Amino acid sequence: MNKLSVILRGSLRPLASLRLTVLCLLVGMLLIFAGTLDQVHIGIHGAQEKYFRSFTTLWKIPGLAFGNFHFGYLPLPGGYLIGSILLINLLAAHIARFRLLWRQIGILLIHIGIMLLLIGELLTGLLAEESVMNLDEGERSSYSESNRKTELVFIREIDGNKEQVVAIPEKMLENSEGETLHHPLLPFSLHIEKFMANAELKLRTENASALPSGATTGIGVQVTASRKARSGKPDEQDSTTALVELRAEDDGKLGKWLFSKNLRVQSFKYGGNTFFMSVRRQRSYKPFTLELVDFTHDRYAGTNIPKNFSSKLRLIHPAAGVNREVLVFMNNPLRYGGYTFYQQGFDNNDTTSILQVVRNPAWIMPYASCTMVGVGLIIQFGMHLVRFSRRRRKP
Amino acid sequence: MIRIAIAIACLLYLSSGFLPEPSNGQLNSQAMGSFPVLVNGRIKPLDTVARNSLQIISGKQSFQGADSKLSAMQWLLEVLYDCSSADKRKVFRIDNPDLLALFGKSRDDGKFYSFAFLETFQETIKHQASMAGSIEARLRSSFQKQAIGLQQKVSLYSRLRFSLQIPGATNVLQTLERFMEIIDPGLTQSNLKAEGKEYNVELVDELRELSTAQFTQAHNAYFLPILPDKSGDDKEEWKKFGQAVMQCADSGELSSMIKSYASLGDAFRAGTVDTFGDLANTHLEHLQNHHPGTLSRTSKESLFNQLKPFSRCIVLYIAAFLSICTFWLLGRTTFRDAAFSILIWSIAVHAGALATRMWLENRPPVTNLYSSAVFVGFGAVVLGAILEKFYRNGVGTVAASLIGFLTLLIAHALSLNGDTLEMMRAVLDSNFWLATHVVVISLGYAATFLAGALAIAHIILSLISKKYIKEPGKNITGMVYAIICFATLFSFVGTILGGIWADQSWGRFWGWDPKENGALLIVLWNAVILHARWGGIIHQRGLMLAAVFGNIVTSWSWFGTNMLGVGLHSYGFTTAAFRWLLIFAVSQLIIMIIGGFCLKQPSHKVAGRSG
Repeated sequence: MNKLSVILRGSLRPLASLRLTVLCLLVGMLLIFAGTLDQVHIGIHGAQEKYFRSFTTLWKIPGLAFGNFHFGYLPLPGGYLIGSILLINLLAAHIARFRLLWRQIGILLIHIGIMLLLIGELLTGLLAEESVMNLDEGERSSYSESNRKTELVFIREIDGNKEQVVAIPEKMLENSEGETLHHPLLPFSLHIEKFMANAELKLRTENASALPSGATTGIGVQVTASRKARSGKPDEQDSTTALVELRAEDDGKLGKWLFSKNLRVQSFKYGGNTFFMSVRRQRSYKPFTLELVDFTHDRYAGTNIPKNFSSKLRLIHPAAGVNREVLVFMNNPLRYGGYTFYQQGFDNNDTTSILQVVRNPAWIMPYASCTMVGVGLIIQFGMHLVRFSRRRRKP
Repeated sequence: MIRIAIAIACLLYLSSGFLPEPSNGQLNSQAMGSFPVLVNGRIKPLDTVARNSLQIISGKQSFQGADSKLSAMQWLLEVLYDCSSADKRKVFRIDNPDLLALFGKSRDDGKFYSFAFLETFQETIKHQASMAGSIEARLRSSFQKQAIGLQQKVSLYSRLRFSLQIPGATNVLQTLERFMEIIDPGLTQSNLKAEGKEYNVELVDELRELSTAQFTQAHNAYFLPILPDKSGDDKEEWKKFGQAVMQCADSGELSSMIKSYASLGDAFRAGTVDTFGDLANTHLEHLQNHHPGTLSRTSKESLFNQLKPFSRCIVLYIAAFLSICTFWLLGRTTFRDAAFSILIWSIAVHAGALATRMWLENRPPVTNLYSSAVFVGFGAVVLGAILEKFYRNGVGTVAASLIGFLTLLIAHALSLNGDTLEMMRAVLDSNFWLATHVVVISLGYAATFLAGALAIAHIILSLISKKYIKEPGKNITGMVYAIICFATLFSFVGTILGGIWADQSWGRFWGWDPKENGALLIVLWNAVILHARWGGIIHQRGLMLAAVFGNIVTSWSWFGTNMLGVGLHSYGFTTAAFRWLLIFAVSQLIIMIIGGFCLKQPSHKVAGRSG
């Protein structure tokens, strides 16, 4: 047993090294610095994906260009890689070097807290969903729309007042480029000829030299579409665009359509049904409904400086027996059903409220880890302080 | 003995601020300085309006003309009541040579220009400013920034002119009384006119002219001087001068506040010193009787402006610094004790001024970039003084007085943009989080800067003072180490509290926003230092150099991240500071290089794990 433990400890030593810790922290600092500077160019979401939610990344150091040639590239490990190494390093250190002693309780708490923090950030990156709910005064809604993701929808009216919606997420379109998709509710299949995460659309009459979009029917015939890099800036939405051929059961071709976030709804008659087709922000439906009763926007007297925004909402969830009014304002969100609704903005002369909707199953983790680290730091440095003042009191 | 001498000197110096400014037979403008007005949602004394406006327009808080010197309040009164004289004063500061060229001037013609001169170029200024305004803020050239700045100055000045009367009006009280007199008959006449009947043309025209004047005044005015009748603090009830006059039209009777503002103006133009003084005192009495709470605040703020406690702190910190430097050079402990005494006095003034600001604003100490500078300095100075109390070796005093002086200098530079007690943006309006997250993170900045300043003091003292190397130099590792522990604790807890605030108010704990990343860098850097030391990777010299580098990391987090102009925290945007940030970073690197070459590695003892 002892021998085994000695061997284990010995073999873990390199992994547990403090030099590795310091190296990881230093590289982490460089990564964070790079990820901060690059936000000016690729936006906050772009930087999150490129630097912090990745395994490796390449930093284009600003200011090192010579004419058109940029020579200042620095490969860096991404947030996931540094985080993982730090986690292993910490675990190894505790197995190899630390012993369970009361005197080390502070360090133990700090380190467990930090591990939780790292895991929490990983889970948030993987699981958290952010979306937006726009409500006009008096309007009800039970869905929110994604900030960044889009979907291609086929809507057909059934039974007079109902709609049947088939939605294909952007990701699925992207992964099926060149393939054919089938759905039991659609009497035709979709052959994804081309997918563009972001595109610039122009009228052919204005841009005669560019190649046509390839569409053979619908509004797509009149436009050109060229690929564009994803924007990543918070105030810009990517224009998801796809060239799709609709194919009938018997493989009869029903024409190539261009669908895009920047194009209006197009319609198509087939088999006695009219299908309305468009690319829209991805919707996620909730089991409950919110109604905007009133939106208020206070300003400081005699100025346009906003003082407060608030939305009076009615929360309706018949299945749970809930029907009540709630007030959402700055620093005071509504938490319900695993979702949190924040006052994000407003529009249309203060009659539309924009709510940020967040679902983050890991939201509790940072709270737990922070408490641990905070307490740990206080214990650890408190012990230093006590030891120090004892030493000073001795002559 | 030395303590008593220092106490007397400090008290004398501080009490000199209470002396009234010499009036030289001019009107006593100070009484009017505490009159409350509402600007940008905040109730403030006229004195603050005067100082901030003059500061924005001319870059100074007083006006020095060819033959006369005016205090800010004297200048403002002239703008408000006698603008034909004020317009000729060269108060507008223009530095940009291209902007000067636009007006056919060059730097040789001087930096200061009058409103009367600029008025002839109003269209040009407006045109240039609106073109510059269409460019994204961080891409604007220096000319474009200054064009926008000048447009804002001109607009501020012209709005000030309209604040208490129509520019150039005379006999204002008489005119207003005439207005009240003719309002009823005038309305009857204009009704006749509307019905197509015969009417008194002169009376209708006169009424129209008088009421248009009030609307124009109210439309252009900068501040709201008329308090509501009831003593309440409902700011919605405050009125612009013209609005209040129109309100009086119903009763046909001018309110006492309107009368007194109007007659103050008449007395000012007539130059009757005694009448002006009596009127101002009557107005003060009225305020005292009806709005004692409001007046108490504004008169205290006016006194605060006059005392300039932070400027006095700067002087005291310099005195402490010089005294402690003398100690290092001459080795007499009297100078060390004197320096510590002065430091304590300065801390007391600093604390009092901070507390006054908190009381005036009804907020925790840090609400904007300016107050963060004041508070970070305060935190570092107090920590430094505690270290000094423990070690009694003079190093704490050097570092504390240096930081106190520098941070207040930064605060002064930041105060030049206008009111430092402005209202909070909605997203920041939470006293709980301002009191926890912002205060704790500021203490984290303070501690990291203090560690850096201690290290700089160590590097420089090792070079110049033999006495230092013999004695206190040995303790420096412990001092810096202790402060870095403190910095780690506070910057970590502060950063985390910020995350919790973010989670509470916009739904994510951590968003990799520049300001958040900046705070994280400080935490990581402190963690690097501690781990490197525990691992024996750095010893005394390494610790010192790392602590100096902490200054760069902290200043990046504090100011640099705001300059990127992205993210949710970019409320403290300031561009001119970028050059200073760079200069600061380079200076720290130079100190690190000097330290790297000059510090000796203590050979007798290898610092191992002490944590």
